[in-house]
Amino acid sequence: MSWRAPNLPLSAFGCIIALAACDRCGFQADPGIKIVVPSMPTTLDWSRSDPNSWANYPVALATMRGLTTVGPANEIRPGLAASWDRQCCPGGREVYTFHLRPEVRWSDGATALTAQDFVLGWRRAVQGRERGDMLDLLGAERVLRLLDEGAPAAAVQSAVNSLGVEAVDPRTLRVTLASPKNYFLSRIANVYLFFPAPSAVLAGRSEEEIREYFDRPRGGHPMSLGPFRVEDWDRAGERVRLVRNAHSAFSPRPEAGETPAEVLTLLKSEVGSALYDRERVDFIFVDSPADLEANRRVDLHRQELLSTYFLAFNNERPPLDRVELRRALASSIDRAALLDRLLPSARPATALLPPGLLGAGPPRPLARLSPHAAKEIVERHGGADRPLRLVYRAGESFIPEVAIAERIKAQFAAIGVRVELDPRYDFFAEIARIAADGHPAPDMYLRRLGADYAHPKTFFTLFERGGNHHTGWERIDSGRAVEGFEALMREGDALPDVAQAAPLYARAESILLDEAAVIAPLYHPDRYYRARPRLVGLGVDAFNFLSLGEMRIKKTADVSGPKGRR
Amino acid sequence: MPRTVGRIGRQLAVVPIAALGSYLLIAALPLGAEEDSKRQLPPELVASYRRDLGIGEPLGFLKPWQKLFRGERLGTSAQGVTGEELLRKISGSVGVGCVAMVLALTWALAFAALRSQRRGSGAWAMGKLIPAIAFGTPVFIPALLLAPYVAEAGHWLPELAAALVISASPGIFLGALLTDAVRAELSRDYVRTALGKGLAPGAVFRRHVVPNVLPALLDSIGPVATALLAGSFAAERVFGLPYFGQLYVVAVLQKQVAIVVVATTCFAALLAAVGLCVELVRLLVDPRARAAGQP
Repeated sequence: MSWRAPNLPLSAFGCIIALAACDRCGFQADPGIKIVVPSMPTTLDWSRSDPNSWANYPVALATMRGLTTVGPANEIRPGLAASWDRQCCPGGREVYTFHLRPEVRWSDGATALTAQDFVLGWRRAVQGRERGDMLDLLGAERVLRLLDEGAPAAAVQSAVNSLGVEAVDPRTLRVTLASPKNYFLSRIANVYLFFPAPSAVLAGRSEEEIREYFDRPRGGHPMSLGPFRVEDWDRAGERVRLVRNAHSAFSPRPEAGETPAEVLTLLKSEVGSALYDRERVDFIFVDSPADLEANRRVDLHRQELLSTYFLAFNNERPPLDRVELRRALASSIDRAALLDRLLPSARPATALLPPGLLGAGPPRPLARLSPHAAKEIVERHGGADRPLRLVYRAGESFIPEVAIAERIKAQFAAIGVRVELDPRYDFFAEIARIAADGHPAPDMYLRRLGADYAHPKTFFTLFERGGNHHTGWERIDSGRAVEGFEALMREGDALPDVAQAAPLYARAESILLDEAAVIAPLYHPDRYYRARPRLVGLGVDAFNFLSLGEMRIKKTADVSGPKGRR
Repeated sequence: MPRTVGRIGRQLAVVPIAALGSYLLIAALPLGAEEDSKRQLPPELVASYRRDLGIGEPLGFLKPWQKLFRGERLGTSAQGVTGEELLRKISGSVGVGCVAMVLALTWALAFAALRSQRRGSGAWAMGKLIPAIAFGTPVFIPALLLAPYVAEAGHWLPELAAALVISASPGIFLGALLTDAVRAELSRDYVRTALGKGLAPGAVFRRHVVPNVLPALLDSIGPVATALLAGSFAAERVFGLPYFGQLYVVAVLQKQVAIVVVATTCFAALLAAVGLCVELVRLLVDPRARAAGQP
């Protein structure tokens, strides 16, 4: 029998047919909905956080729930807790007793949620990298102090065991705060450090084994309570696959003609926009102004964020140590001109607290200073003596930072203030740097502050003593300004609800913006994204987190997921 | 034959040298000492560094391998890999690299054919232009151009596109070498003699020129094949493929030092494996290699 060379064109045709017939071959054959995200999680262990925690939120919020949840108007609603009692204030403390929902099960369908799950999760969180977020709990301060001092493990463990969180019985959780904090219910809805961990599964495991349990998904773990659970996390491939949690008490309720989403893949892509146009992915963020201009289509959505973009002044170094000059600069900015034609729409800001946030006051009037009057003040207070360095973040952002910085430069030039722009990739290190004269390094910086939870406190925390505002305002006027600000905050936080505290928060805001003129709010940013019309409930929430929990698929359309795949 | 064995031995010696060298380099990083720089690192990273590298332990350099063979994870829980995952990633890159190698050889032959055209013709001009384009274009540029059409499309298309993109430049390089080697051989006396004896030009090329050109080509194929098989970070990233090229770079960026040691050794092993294959092919095609060392 002699060997015959194969017919090459026929072989090539055969190969093409074989590949075409291979429906789910190759690495990227993930079925279901594909969502392009700007960043991958750094950990799936929600009881442990890290400084890049924002990247972990999409997965954490899709897979877990807190004791409370946030409603559409940012109001607090029951979550894992069906109800709660508040007791104020035995010994100056605040005690919450949460009654857990009896029907809630972990994603294995058998393990019930218990109060011990919160005790375990919170005790781990208070030893994590962002343990400062747990500081409101009674005893947390001691744990943090011991950890910072490098105390022996036994001493730390003893302090952890006396933390103000205890399981009264399997369905009742008692939480003791060191002092009354009316924002606590808002925080536990959003901040994932307060989510429970499955104690029945994790009991007896070492810390290393617990991390392994969370960060290496397989065989149904880590168990979840939310509408999805993580099935696979490919770190090098930068994708996370979520599958529906059939046992979730929080599954979205599909209406007629809708089905729940079974599989979701979160992925990073260098060509996300092009893939969306070719129907290979189902959701992308649209961030650059050029893309926004090009993408005024039916599937372009806008979400107003609880967020404020502001200009911060260095309150210590001349000439900006003069409050009159800071006030003049803040009130001379033409916010509308600053944002003109940069974005499809923009909400100029006159307040730190964004509209729509519970506890935010009515819009603050801003009497804009005429350029002539501003120039006079600038000259009187030495504002034109030297150029001022304005630092802003370089790199990708959904804020048009370069354009805003350049426009501020132009507007300040018109009143005689010279500005040198300094875009920085090491933005946070630069604004935290103390210069040789002992003052914060930049004269001014631009920054976005977003809400972590639905309460004014989330915006004010930054400006408290020890906060990362880097303006030096805690030292001006011998610290009296910041003392007054913090006293108002304390008083407001101690009131039972945010509505009662709103006038106090408004006064605190006024100290920050008017009396001390520490910052000048510029606008309240929005987030833009494109999503397939057939995907209902998929979007971005007011906290700038991808919102997957309510997602359903309209049956009328092809439910196969992106084009070309079943 | 002893010469071939010697060459193969040298290739294989690269593996332990790379394993030990990378281990000692990583172990010498200030990360291991009680210094301020370490306090900046997350505690789980420092713990994984101590645990995985077995610093200070006898035969500590075997620790990463011990863990891998036991099926344990190397690195932190959030970023580490197991032996099984590592194998999957290497096989992905090797798969893409094998296709790229076939494509590179195809481009090499096509380019050689183009360069052998008559001086002054359009094809000849193209032969001059193509190397400039191929060597002057970073891999990520064609990858970004191609990615919108193939990424997330399934059917192995991203893998094939990655192979296509990474094969272009090595293909042209091999083609240029091939052309120069062929030209050099064609100008030798034995070719003129063979033609003078009445042998057909095709037969001269097949019987005399090709056997003399192949050894020169084999010397270049080794490094090219290793580079292709080890995966390209740029191509894998743009096409969204999670294979060895990405793993290696991500491990470095995430300071997963034990993975870096293992990945470096895997790279060396790949180099040795390719060298072994090249030597075997050389034995098959080059009579001088077979004859060398024989009395």
